[in-house]
Amino acid sequence: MPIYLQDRKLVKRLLAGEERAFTQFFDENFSRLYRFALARLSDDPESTREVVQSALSKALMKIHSYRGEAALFTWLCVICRNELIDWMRRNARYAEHIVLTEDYPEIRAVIESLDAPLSDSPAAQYQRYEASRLIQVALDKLPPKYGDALEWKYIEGHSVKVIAHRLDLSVEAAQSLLARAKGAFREMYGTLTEPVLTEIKAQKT
Amino acid sequence: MTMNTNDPRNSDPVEGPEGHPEDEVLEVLFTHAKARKPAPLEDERDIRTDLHAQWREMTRTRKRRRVMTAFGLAASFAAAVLAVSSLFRVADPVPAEVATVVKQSGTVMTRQALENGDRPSRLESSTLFTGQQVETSRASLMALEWSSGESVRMDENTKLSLLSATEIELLSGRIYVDSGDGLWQVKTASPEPPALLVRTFAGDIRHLGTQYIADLTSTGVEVIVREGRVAVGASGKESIANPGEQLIVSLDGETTINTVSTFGELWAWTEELTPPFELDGRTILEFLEQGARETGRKVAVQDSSAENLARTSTLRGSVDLAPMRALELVLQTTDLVATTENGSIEIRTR
Repeated sequence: MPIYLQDRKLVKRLLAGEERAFTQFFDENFSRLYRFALARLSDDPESTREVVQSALSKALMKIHSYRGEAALFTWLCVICRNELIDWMRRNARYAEHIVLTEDYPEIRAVIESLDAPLSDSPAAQYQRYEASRLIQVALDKLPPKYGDALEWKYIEGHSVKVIAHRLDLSVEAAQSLLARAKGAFREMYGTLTEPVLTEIKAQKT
Repeated sequence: MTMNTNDPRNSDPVEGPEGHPEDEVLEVLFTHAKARKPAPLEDERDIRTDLHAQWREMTRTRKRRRVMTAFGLAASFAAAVLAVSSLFRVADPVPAEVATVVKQSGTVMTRQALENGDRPSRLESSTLFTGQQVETSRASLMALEWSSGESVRMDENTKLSLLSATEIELLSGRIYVDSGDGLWQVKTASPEPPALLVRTFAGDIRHLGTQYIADLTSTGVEVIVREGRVAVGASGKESIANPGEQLIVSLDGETTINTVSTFGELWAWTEELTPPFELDGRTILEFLEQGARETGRKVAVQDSSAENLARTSTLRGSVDLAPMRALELVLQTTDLVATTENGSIEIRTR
């Protein structure tokens, strides 16, 4: 079983009262956790704020129990998921809570064609929307620098030089990080939507 | 499908050697994606400050427990050696009285910071204790005073925690700190009490005999100095702000200094919380100088008759108004008239 050493070190620094550790902990996890909860609360920002605040508060109370067997963000998501369940129980209008594709134990998000014309059927349009959403989900599940680097390069179109500057890295180090990020993304996205890459490859040949 | 070679994503000269065969596939995939949405700034700021306060309290409690455990072990050992059979107990520290509410408008909420699950309740008492958290709302202001002579004025939507007799934590909003070196401040707890330390998630602020505003924003802290000097410690370094300077310290430690006025609109809200002027036995000049200090101005007497009158006439009673209104009201009963000119309060005989 892998041990997430970097995350464990961060928690140790946090428990020691290091201010930078708190800033790093918050900056790396807050936005991702917010999006995690928002998607499960029908994009309701007020409920999301309440749930995320409660989840982070409980996480802090239990942070001494984090051992590094899972990524810190994954550990936070488990706590957040429990808060979501409690919140939904308290709020009758969410009696049937939202289940997202990536919440199923076996994920099968089949996308027939991402290049279909806009006049396509609602089902195909929904599948394209789902593909886009799963990209964001996959980016959030990666280590923060990986997700950010990929977003800056492939979605916002920034050069490696700009990415290197933002991450305070040399250009070579940024290239290397991007290569690792792409590999991590392929693996993550693959587990979310296995047939997608195969389908696109087939279209290109 | 052909790739757009003008797209920087595909023709980045610094991209390096040819990547994995599936990179092209990923690039197609990403063309269908949008950037992830950040959380609302206000939510992020509020949750960050609350969580930071909880974290600070948690780490302090852990340190206290470690000290108590070590002390407890040593005490047990000593007891065993001396064959003392009684149990050594360390009581939880009793909250100490640290500040007094001297002025308040609107409703202010409070709770004990140690009990994070507690809901805030309306502040009823004028005495504040260590560990207490106070919060003004949109329509409320509050002024606090320490026995050392220092005072803190809280603007609307401001939350702070009283950590000890010499430390507070600004959790959100804006405060005005006065070290109390003015004419009428003679209260001191000890010959040289340590200056009040203001902690924020962006850095720690300490003053060196001064009046200043500290404003916590979502990106850092801004300190505006009217008098004296202020040091802000963040990311292992300290930055100094002098009178007439606005020092901005961002969360990643970057600092910016701008020039600002020491009087006027920027400071207007602090004047609403000026303590009442106790006039009994004070000369008009002393009253004018206190008013000038409260508004960041200097007294300029225009003629010798005015000076003589200001130095020798004494006042009675008290007045609880913002400084310039108090000045206007009190001078109506005298042969003096005041006008404000840039940074001065000019006094002349009628």
